[in-house]
Amino acid sequence: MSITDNVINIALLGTANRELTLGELPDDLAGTLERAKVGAADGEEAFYKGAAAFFAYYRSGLEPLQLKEAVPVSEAEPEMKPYAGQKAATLLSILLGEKYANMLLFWYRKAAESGKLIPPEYLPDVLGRVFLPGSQTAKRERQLLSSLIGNRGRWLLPVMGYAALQEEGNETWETATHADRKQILSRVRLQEPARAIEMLRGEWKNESAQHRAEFLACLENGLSVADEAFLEEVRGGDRSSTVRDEALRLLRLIPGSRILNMYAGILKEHLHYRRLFGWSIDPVAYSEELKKTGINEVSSNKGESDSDYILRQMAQYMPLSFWCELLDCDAETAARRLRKSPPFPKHIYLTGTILNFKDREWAFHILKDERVVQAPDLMQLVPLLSMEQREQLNLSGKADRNFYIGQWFGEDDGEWGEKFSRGVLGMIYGMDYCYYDRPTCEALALRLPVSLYDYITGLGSAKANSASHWEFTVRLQQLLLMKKDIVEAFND
Amino acid sequence: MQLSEDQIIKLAPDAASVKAGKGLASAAKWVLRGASERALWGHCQGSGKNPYQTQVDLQNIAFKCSCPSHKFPCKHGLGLLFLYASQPELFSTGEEPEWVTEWLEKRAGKAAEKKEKSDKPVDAEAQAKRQEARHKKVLNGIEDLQGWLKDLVRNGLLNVPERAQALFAEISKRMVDAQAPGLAGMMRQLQEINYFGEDWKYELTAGISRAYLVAESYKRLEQLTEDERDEVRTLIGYPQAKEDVLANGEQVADDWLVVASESRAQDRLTVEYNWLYGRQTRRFALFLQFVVQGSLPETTLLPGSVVVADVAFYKGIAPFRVLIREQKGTGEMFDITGEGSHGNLTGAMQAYRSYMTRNPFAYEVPLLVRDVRLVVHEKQLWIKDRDERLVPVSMGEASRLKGFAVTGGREFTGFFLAGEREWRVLSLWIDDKYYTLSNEYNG
Repeated sequence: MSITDNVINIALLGTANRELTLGELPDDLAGTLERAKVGAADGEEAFYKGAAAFFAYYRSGLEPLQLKEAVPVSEAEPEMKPYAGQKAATLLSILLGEKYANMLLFWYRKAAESGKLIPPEYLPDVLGRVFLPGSQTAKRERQLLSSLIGNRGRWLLPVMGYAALQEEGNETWETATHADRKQILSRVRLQEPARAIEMLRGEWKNESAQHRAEFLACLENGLSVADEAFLEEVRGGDRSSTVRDEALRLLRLIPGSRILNMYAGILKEHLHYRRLFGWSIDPVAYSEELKKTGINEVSSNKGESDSDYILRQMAQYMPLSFWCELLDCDAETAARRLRKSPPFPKHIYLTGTILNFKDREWAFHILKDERVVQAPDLMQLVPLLSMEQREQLNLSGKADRNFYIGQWFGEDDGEWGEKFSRGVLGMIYGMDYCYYDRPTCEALALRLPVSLYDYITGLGSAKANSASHWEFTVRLQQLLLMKKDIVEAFND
Repeated sequence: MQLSEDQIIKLAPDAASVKAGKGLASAAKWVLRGASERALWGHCQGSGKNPYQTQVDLQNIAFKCSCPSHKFPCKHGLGLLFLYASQPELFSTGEEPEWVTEWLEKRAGKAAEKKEKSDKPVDAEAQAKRQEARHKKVLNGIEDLQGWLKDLVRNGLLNVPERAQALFAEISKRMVDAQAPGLAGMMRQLQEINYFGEDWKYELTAGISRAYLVAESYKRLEQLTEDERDEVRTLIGYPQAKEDVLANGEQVADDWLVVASESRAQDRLTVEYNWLYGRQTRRFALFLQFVVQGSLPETTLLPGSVVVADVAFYKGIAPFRVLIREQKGTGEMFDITGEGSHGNLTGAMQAYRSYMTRNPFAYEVPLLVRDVRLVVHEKQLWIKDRDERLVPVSMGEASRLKGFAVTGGREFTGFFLAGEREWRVLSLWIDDKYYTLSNEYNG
């Protein structure tokens, strides 16, 4: 019991109820208290004078605590890699605001490439961000951070009350959450497609219909005929229509699958192309087998016959290789011919087919001959192209007012070539009004070469009367320079 | 003068300004960037067509900007400093433009004018009359306060928490009316105790005892030593005239390391506490500034920097508080781990006890302690020395995480304000780097 506890207890209860007593006090303190009581006009005065002495006595005798057993000490292991330099650290501190999430990811990538670690003073903010609920970039940040936080960061995580960051590839399928499992499955699918199927088979019966459908969607990358058996099994036996539909969707994305082969056989019988006369179409009868593969019987469009509708649906699932065979020509010629003169010209939507198959070559064969800006239906194919292919596009002309540059951002943040970048900027500055939010500007700046800074100045000056373009110019230039600073900070 | 990021953050009026300022620390934002020995200047391109004209006085930190922001300093001033701190090579070092020179000269003129004004003689007779009248008023106030404190303790403190706000606000106002603002402040502190915590019983009992002791001491001024008289008068709220301190206070010339700086809002004022540590004297000094919201402090002391200055100590019992008589420039960082700092917690606690024995009115004692580390034991944060001794410390969450992040659990040298229940860590040194932990908004 502390020497002050007696005083505090009396204060709490009130001096009307209890008096400050000498008790078992040290002699010098007892003497002081005695003198205070003698000279006091009332009990309260005696209390205050005594309390002042008690507290002074307490303060004057304070010692550090020593426990019987030593408190264990935990130290972070020394780092094997160097910390990012002062310039990079200053930029990091700028970027740590929520507003620069894309640039922050760029900083992380550059740090990872140059083998640098995040300086310790920034770790609480950096780690705090990835555990923020609702953060859109947390997952990508977490993946990059595992190599950037070093031993200090790993040591700090439990101090902050967080679990360890999972290194990519080290997650355990058995204990992972559903969201993490999807990530694992997608990654395994890219490296070992067959193992992904095996992983799914193991858990299949324990998962809900929604989860099963989502797992199936993860197989989309790397689909091949080898997956057909599993997908057919699911399509034929799963109790959920959502899952069966997803299996069917995937089966129709596998060139050479039984379903597409059946479609190909029917189409070859009923679709004929002759150079001089174009397409001739023989009517087809609807069958139970077609119904089972998701082909509808009756067209909702009065201008299209049911037979054409049945054939068109099948045609829209066919890959470019089918058309090459049907038209007896190479891929480029087939793509051009389909673009110029497709079957069912009023109703067919082959852009969707290209997107389904993510067929880069088919997209390129079409786009390279077009003035892309004037073919709004094809604009969505641009993200399929490689950087080199984009350089060959013709982007001249005025873009549709609904054009939104965000639709051209691919999944990676690779830098675009100069010609394509100039074309994109020309489209943006060619519009009457231009407003892009900060994340879009950031994403755009990450794709544009910094060498276009002066070119952007020129475009901005030419549009000096447009407030929205002026704001866009200033923002884009600032972001470009920030990007340049980040690159230089890690090159130094 | 080259400032560190932490030092610049200390200048910001709030966390939002820090964030916005950092956002402007990019070359792209500045179409003009210039620097000289005495100033920084630049044109910051905002979303409007005309850039903002921003300038910073580097010798006695001050800001001016043509932007319409009501914050001082604004994000542009901070951004310019952040940029200069990280990339000084981006700044041209030519002649100062006219608009910068004009401003600097105007500032120098104002400083001279102020000095002239403070040199005017005072009417001693009138001053004595005023002091006498105030003394009587304070004595009356003290009678009231002591009567009130007696009533309080007679009835017991158990029901104080639920009525603390009204209870202490009222008596605090009465002390202001009695021209005893120091006592009023003590009552406000009791109002601000965390009554949801476990320590309120101790804090409240110790607080009312301390107030009673100060009041009683004032009634017996003639029995006290000169130092004690000054201490008690100051605690009651009598200001020590600046001129008097500058002329008659103990004068100490030294290179002063700004070991920590923290700000506390008090009514409409921000009180800035700057803790200094002398290279030769190994003494602590506390330089206070009272800043009205929306204005700049007269002097800017940046944590971690060294100022060469003559200071004058206020009168009192082993006082820490000083006024800066003359700031002669900036100095080089020096080793703080020698004489004056403590190698273990036993020695540091001995220094605490020794000070508290001399000055029973003190709240906290500044201490520099080497070779300690942060540890958590039974959910309490402690510092621990090599002899396995422990002292509980309190830190805000952001400071705690920063402390652990920069030390990694290793030993460091820390600047502490030692209190009777726990110590506060305001700054630390590790791997030859200085880190400030005091202001939560600095993140």
